[in-house]
Amino acid sequence: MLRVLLVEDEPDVALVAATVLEDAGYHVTVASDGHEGLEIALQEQPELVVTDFMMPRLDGLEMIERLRLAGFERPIILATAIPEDHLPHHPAYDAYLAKPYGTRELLALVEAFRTQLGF
Amino acid sequence: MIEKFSTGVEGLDQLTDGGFLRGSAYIVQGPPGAGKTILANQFCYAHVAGGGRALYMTLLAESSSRMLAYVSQMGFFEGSALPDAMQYVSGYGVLEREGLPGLLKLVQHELKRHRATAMVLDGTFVAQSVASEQEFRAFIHTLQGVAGMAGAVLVMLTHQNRDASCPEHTMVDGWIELSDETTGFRAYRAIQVRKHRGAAILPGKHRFRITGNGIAVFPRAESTMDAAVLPSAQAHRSSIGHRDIDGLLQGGLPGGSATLLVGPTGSGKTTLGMHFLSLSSAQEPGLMLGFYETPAHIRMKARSVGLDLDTPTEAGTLDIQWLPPAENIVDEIIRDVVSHAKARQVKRVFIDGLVAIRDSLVITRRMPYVINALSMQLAALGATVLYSSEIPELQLDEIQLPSDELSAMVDNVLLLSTGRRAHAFRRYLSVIKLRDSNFDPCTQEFHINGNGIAFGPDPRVGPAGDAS
Repeated sequence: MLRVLLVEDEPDVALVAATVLEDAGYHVTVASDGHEGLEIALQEQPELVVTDFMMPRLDGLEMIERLRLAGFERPIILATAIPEDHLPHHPAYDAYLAKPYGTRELLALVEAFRTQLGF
Repeated sequence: MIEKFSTGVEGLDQLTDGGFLRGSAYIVQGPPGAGKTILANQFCYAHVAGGGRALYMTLLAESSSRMLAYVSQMGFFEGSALPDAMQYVSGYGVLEREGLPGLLKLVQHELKRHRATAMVLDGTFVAQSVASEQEFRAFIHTLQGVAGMAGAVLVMLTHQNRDASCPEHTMVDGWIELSDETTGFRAYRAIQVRKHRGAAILPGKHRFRITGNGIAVFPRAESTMDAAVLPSAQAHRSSIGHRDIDGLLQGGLPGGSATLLVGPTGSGKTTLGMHFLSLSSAQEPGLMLGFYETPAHIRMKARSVGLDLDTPTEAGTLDIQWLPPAENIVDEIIRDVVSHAKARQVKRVFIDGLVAIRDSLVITRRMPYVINALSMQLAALGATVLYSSEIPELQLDEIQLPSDELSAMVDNVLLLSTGRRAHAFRRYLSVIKLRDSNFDPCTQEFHINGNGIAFGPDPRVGPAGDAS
């Protein structure tokens, strides 16, 4: 079962996304900010990370940067309401998902990574 | 002197004497849908546009990305401010897990992390709901201290269920209330600055509107009167555009004065106003604001009585504006008329239809003060203004002005009356009041022909006999 770490500070988004992914057969862990996400990712080494950008304590891009510096090489999806062309140049994430996203869009993207990872 | 930050809303800056004070804490209160979120976002984007950095923290469970999707449709939104100068974060999870102490730490951390000079805390009532009244009071107190030390403006959004006796209102530096009100079938939005330490506020309720460009606040016209810009009496006369009537007025209307044309339907008020506007020129640009007839109709009507409004309109020296008499905000109308008059150096203004203005007022007893405010502001610009006002049909021998405070608020009053005498419909003109001047008190019968207003009875019906 593919393990997904969902890093999201908005409780309703986290709840819906986690439920949809779990219903689709993924194992989901939720972190509520970048700091918590960093700790869990390094500790549990999930196959895929889906992270928000604007979060308290540590934002999504800083978290990604620190994960990459720590040697975390698994795919990361950045989900944010900020248009991609307004994001700072940051090649360390693997896919962009515009918020607010539909559950179908989330599932399709996660499914694509699942296939790519051979699960 | 403490630095002030614009609220992002011109009218609210007027109400608050220049905006929010740096290092101060404000409560913005109102029911759901009142516009708190829009106001807070508008403030943040204006703050960022001015070189500041803003942080929007929500304590609500609802998604800020969805809110951002709505806000991004507003005219004030600036996507390039994200994510550097403007950030949205949720404090809901921390509040749920760690309570008020955790939330305080988070606010401190986030202010520092973002180097924010403005912060919005959306859903402050949620923080109140997880703590005792005493804990909440301590939280607000510390929060204020945190914002003060960071030199940031803190704006806390909350719903309407906290009344004036609640401690947060006494503790914060400012308190702004948004409300949705209803009179009969009409609903309107109002804003009131209940408190603002260290600033001379414009007290009371003021109307506001939510538009695609955010919130627009219209301070009550009479509350913005500035004694420093009040006009001094002008010696010159301003022709009314009709030689014989100018004769009754000792050469014309006193320059920079306000004149009320009162009379029943069909008495010639609009025609007289068109005479006045026909003298619009590069030296004396004109402005007409009507509520019942479109600009094209007014020009056609002028042509039909031999008055030329086409030439000044086409030359750009006369602007005829039309505003359907729907649910207008009078203070917005006044703001627009004055700013238009200022921009074009307008010297001749004709407002056709005070009834439409009165009907737009929620509190109709404001009418004389509103008209006084408009007249004063126009007079300060050197403009002479005519207002037409509808009254019921009068018989000539019953001429008397209705007891109306409005008459006292204008400089001059011209009464246009109608009557049926000697089997004909007739019109009469009387000068009732003329500022600081003598005037011809005789009532003049007039008719309207291909040259506009002409003194004397219509040749087709002949004299009425005793018309005194």
